[in-house]
Amino acid sequence: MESVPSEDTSKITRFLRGIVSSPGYRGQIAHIADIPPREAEYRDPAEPLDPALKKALASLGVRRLYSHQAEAVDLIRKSRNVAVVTSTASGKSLCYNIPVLETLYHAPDSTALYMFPTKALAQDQLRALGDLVLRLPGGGERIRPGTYDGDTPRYARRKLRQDANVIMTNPDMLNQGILPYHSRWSRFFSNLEYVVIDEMHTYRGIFGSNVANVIRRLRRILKHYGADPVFILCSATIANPGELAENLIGAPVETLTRDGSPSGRKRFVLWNPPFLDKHKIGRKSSNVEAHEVMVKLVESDVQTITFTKARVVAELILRYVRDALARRNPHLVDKISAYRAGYLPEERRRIEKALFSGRLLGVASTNALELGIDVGSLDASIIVGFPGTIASTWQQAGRAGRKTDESLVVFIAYNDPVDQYLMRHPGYFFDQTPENAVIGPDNPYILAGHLGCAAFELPLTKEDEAYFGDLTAPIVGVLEEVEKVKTIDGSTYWANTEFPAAALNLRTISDDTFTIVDVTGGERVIGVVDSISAPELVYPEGVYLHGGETYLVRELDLDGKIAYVERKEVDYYTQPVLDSSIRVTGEKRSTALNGLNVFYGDATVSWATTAFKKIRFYSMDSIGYGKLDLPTQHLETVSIWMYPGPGVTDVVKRRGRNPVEGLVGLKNVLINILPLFVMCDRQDIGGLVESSNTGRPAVFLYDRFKGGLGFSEKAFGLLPGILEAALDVIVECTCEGGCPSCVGLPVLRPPQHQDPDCGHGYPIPDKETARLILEEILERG
Amino acid sequence: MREVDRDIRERIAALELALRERAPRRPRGLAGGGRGRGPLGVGDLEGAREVECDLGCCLVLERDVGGLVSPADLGRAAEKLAGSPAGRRYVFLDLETTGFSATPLFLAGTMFEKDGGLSCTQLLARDYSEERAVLGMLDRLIGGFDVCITFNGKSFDMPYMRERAKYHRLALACDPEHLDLLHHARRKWRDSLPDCRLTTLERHILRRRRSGDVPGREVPCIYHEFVHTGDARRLVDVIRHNLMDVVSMAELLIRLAEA
Repeated sequence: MESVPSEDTSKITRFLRGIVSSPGYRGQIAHIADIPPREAEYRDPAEPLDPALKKALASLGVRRLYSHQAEAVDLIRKSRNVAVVTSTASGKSLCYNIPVLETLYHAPDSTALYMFPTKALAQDQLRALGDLVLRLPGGGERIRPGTYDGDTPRYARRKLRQDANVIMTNPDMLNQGILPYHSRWSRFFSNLEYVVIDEMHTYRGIFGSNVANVIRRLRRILKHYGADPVFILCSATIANPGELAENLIGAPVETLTRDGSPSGRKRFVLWNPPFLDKHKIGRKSSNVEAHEVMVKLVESDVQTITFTKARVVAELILRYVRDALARRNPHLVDKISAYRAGYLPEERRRIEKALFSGRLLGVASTNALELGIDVGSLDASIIVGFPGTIASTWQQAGRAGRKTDESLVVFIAYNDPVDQYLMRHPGYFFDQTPENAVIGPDNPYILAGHLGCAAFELPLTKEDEAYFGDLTAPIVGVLEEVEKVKTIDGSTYWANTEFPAAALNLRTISDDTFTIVDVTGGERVIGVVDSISAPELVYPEGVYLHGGETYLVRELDLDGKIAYVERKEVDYYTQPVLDSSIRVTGEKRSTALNGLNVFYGDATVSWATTAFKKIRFYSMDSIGYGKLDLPTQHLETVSIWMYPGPGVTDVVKRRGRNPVEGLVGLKNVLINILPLFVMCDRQDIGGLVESSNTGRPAVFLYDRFKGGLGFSEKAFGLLPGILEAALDVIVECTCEGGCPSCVGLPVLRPPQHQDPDCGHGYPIPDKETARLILEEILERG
Repeated sequence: MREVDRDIRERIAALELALRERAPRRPRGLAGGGRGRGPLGVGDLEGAREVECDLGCCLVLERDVGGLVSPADLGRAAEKLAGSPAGRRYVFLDLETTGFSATPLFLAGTMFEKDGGLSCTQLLARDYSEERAVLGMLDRLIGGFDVCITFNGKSFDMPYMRERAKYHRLALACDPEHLDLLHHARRKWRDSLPDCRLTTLERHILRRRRSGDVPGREVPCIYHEFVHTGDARRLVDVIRHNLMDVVSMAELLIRLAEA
């Protein structure tokens, strides 16, 4: 535990000292980072702001611009595309609102398109822009903003299309509700001067790959109407903002990362729930720990937001906190609320306002409050479990302590590999971020959907390869074969009664999920699972765990993509026995890393669930076995693979150990930590150790998406750092012979994710050998 | 097509397979209910000729429908209904499209007085690329008249035409007065008929049923099929359907003007 300096008498310090000296304290604080306050850095733009705008800003308290705002204004005025990458509450929205207002105030026929990842954010930004517009003389007539999304009533839509000059929307609406009907937007698009893409870091993985293609479609429509707008992107901190921005918009972007906004002193506490017993495996529940910290904060009059990873956890913590307060401080019970998706918009507004005014002292929220919704500055933020990315962690941390006030962040770890790794490596939070946002807009499956939409929107020609790349022609050929499109004199038209944009879901691989139907007394859909995971999750006679209940799988309909399950009380769960293989179909890159041979290329993964084991709850006894006859599944994707040279394996063998055991352990660690580098979910990466391709055992890590999304490609380039982190995990894990927090199989399957016991049925590979291999390669022995 | 390397070809082949599985099967016997003839070229249609303008080519189908209704009666009925002065020139218009919005239109049926009789002129896009020419010629054709008569054209045909013109970035020159028979029909028969769709009015007011008519919802599919195969056998039904719509409008106009 770090010491808390005694001469410091601030509210936060007193609170921390109180915790540490309380009788119940069991050394949970793994690290305290003291982030010093940062002075504001002001700058004026090269050319002064419009006097009316300057006055309007001043009336909102903005008398001078921060350096990054002024830099952004300067670049945008020179028609450069800009990506602004600064902290939460650093005034990013002014970076785009100022240039947009400057232009539209004097040329009210010009237009601007704002894209946010959620409808709630668009609403919030509409309010913020509206505040500013009302302070401009005659602003209300000249600046006419509106949100255009799924919530916009039909009668309002026509008016917005005809009249609005700032449209705030989301990628999904652009895909389905705007681009296909572009002729109704001809006025708006013909006059488009700016495209604003906020929260850019959320556009990664499958969502980002789709959004990049939506932007390609937008750009070719804009070309049709003769518009060439400036793109303004804003992002939380990631390692590769410029690369992501350029991949998203397909044009050069200037990146601004120097943050000129001030911030108050912030204490960032890493909090690890204590071990339950001397075996040092299980830890106290993170949710219980979180509620205890939250109660103490609220009782000390510290306005607190607690972020959870699931809606149910937000509700759970609310309940725990209320119960505790009811016993000790009943007058505080009504000052606590939950906030999550699923609440009605009016209710959300009410909570946001109550937080802003200080009437609420505490809120337990999902990441629904993570993105830019303005709820004012809170004193403390509790983060329960790693939100998946460091960027998200900072967004959540940034909810506490806007501007100059002192603030506290408590990150409470789950007992899983990444959280525990972060507890031991605070540097991951406080040094330069290693996170790369990866997209794969040229994935042929994603392209196929968007090329269909593009053909619907405007006939495709040879020139469109400039937007969609080299795969355009062959994919159009396929679409033509299946009579979706028809090419006439070099132009390809949509030639089908379907509406292609409706078939595209930007946030998942469309139509590639299995539905899980409960047939106990009628049919009821209780869940979905991606088609890759289905055969290993809902195989016939398997036990499907859902909401703490056990269901028996009756039938798996592979053609209809439905699993029929039936509620049945059983005292065991099942574990699939997988037969998997991988075939390299095209090597694209290779390199040698000090005795480790590394490759990247196309590969086909094949697997079948051939049998399953029945394992009794709690005792973990194996109580039975069943054979299955399911067809083999194939996944054509991209992969990296690596194998150590004889120099390394000889060292391992001389110690009387089996290199394969070590490689299996290495594979498991890598799957666990890759998401820290390429910003994906653990489910997005698959891994295998096999030797048929290379003639010796090799570790394969592949993208679990048809056609690949770029995760393993990025990992190829980042491998040295990833291997270093893998060795850290192994060396620093407190277990003796390996555990699921290091070389053990990561617990991946979503419903079983809730129950860490379910991962324990697999043998743990040899930790020591994995360490030896890495030490040899990294020369860290 | 650009030369692609082998692994790309393999991936594309897999993609093709996946898309095929998802593609709806083409309905059997789509090519014309077993009429037993070979494919029908669209150029073989009666009264068809190719016409070219600065926006491209399309097919024009002209036929005389004289004798059905007297143009003089039509003129008087329209004057009465629209309350417009005598001597105006009228054109009937009905569009066939591939959807409700944002998709191409392919057939524009018009009817007007010619040499003392009635002439029907249909403009047909033989594929999507000819829509521009159809729009351009239709604009010029309508521009030669004072009043455009439609059935539900205020909310469908006219906005559709304008939207498609915007899509092609064409400026429409025609700006006729508009007489929408649907509104008059509603006013007159709303209380006595289940609805005021054109087919309902035909049955109850004009006292006739169409035989072998194409249901409107099948029209887009038939047209896409025609573009893919070049076989016009079912398209003929759509062309006739369009013609019947225009003719029914004329008859309806007479009835609407009756006391």
